Amino acid sequence: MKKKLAILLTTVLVFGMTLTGCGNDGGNTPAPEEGQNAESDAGNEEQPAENEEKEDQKEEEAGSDASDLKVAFITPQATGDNGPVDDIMLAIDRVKNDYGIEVQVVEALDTTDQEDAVRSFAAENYDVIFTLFQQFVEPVRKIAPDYPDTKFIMIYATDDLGMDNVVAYAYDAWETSYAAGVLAASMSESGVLGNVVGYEDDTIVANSNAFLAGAQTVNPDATVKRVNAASFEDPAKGKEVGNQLIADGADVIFTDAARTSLGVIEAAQEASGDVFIIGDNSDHSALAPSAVIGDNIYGYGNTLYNQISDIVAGKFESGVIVCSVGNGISVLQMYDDFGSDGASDELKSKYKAAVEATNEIIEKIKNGEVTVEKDTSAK
Amino acid sequence: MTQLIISMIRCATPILLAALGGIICERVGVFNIALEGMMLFGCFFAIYGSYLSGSAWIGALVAMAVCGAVGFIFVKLTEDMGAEPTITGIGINTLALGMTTYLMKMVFGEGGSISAGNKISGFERIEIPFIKDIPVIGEILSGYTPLVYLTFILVPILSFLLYRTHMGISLRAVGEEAHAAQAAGLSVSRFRVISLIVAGMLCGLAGAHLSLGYVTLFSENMTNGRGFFAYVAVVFGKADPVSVMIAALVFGLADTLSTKVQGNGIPSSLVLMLPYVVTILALMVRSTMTGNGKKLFHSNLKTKEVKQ
Repeated sequence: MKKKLAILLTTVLVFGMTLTGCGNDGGNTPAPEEGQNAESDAGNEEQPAENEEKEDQKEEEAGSDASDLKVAFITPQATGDNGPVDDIMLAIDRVKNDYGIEVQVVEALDTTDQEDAVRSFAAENYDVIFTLFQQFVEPVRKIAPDYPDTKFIMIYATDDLGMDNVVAYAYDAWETSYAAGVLAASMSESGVLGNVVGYEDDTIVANSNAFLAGAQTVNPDATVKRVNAASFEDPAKGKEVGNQLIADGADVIFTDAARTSLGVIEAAQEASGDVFIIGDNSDHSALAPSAVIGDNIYGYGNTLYNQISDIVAGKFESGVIVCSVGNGISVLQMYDDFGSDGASDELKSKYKAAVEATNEIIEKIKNGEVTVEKDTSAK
Repeated sequence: MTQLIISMIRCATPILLAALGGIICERVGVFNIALEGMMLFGCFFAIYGSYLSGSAWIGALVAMAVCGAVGFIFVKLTEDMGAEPTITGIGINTLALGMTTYLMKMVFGEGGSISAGNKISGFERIEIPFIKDIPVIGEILSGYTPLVYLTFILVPILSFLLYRTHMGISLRAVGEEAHAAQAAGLSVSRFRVISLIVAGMLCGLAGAHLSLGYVTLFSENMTNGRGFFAYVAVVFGKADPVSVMIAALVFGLADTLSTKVQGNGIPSSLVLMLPYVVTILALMVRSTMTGNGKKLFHSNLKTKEVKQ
């Protein structure tokens, strides 16, 4: 009897775990639109060039040995986050269309799985392994020297590991956050802005500070209330936080919280007055056309796409590469069809003006007239 | 202040609703740590039901049916087959996470989260006539989704059933002294099976509240530990409905404060520990007060037989 039970229970457990695995692996997240970087048509100074160019190149190159490239992407956060991971998943679709390269996607949600995932792909002679977020720095530091033929690309990491086969991409996301501040303050009536984050690290705090600085160029009295929801994956919590911020008078909320921000968007939609959202890392405009006024795209997807294009073209650079507004990878995406579900014309023209003001700032950041400092002080 | 109370009630409801299910399990002597998993099943099937039928209520019914079935499976495994309840509970929690993620992919073709636009109808907020016009009180009492009201109505009902009816006395007897209950002619296993089905249904309702009332979407692992908090509330309240309600409200308040207090110069990471610190403190206080850390009502026929 006991034995049977043990077997039964184990089966239940194993079945459960298998399902967790199955549910996660695919890459077919919705692809709402193609033109990821509406704003990024200018300023491709150095290494990572523009997508449109790439699309021309690829026509000649596709069909060669590009599709033999074995590429893996290891994510510590589940797909379908309406944020960083989905941005990358869209880029993976683009890579597949343009180069015929099938990127193997693995979710390594537990810290313990992450090193194993990196090592097993390296051991299987993958040519390129992409990782996402800072926690992969240590595993890569350990593993990369053993596999010199594999290229390790760490998206969102700031450490230079000094190895020829490792590159880290860092993001000066405070530049777009500064522009987001301008956009937010231009749309805000109350001057009280919210910022919902899923975690607080240097970059996120710097973004928040830059957001405030940008807002104060428009409205010197603007204030930003930052709330750490302590999760990138809890929309219910996001809604609660959103409701709290709205009750405190915030009428534009800037999120850096992936899936948690879905709840914030819902809170904004249900609010009695006009409350606007600037989301992060994916296009949220389809969810709430009259609430989402912009999305702060760090450019994870562009990074992956450009990196694969370069490798296909035989280029590779190790070290740390900083992505910014300047090199066209990070963008603040704004929407021409804002308010398509019935916003008043008055609101639409207000938005148009706000977008213009914001674009002006973005131009100034690009040509160096405005520099946005990385300010990580607690405010 | 009013906002704080409103926020507290909103945060406490999903925990309380699942905890009501937990109370019933605890009272009949079944250790049920699967509240979390049952709730997650509830979240998904509520969305699915609402998606198919266009009605939030039908969604909630579907969630209740599915979770009732899960409760039935749980109790069959632990009672009739003598499986270890902790492991079965963990099994169900893991299964819920995996299965809902998988089904979401299968049914909606999307990973991570679904809101499916207008196809999913959530619960509408209820503005209570007259009461809503009273200042402050109206604000606090009015404007929630229906399941919030249902939850707080269920607390006295459950309390009445447990303490004032024959059925409640039998039910408690089953949990406290299964042998005596059996000697008195009660069918211990029938009581447990029915109780677990009802508990499952309550968890399903809690899930439905989370995915259709609290927000209108489903997201992978969206319960995010609320089921475990529910279990802690049950332990803290010693499975007494009113005490459990207070426990749930305390957790709700801690949760609210953890985001509300941020930004006044206190590092957020410290403030965010609040709910967990409160939980640990609550349990410590509780166990000092009662003088033991033992399980509440886990009188089990099977284990006693084995020992002899």
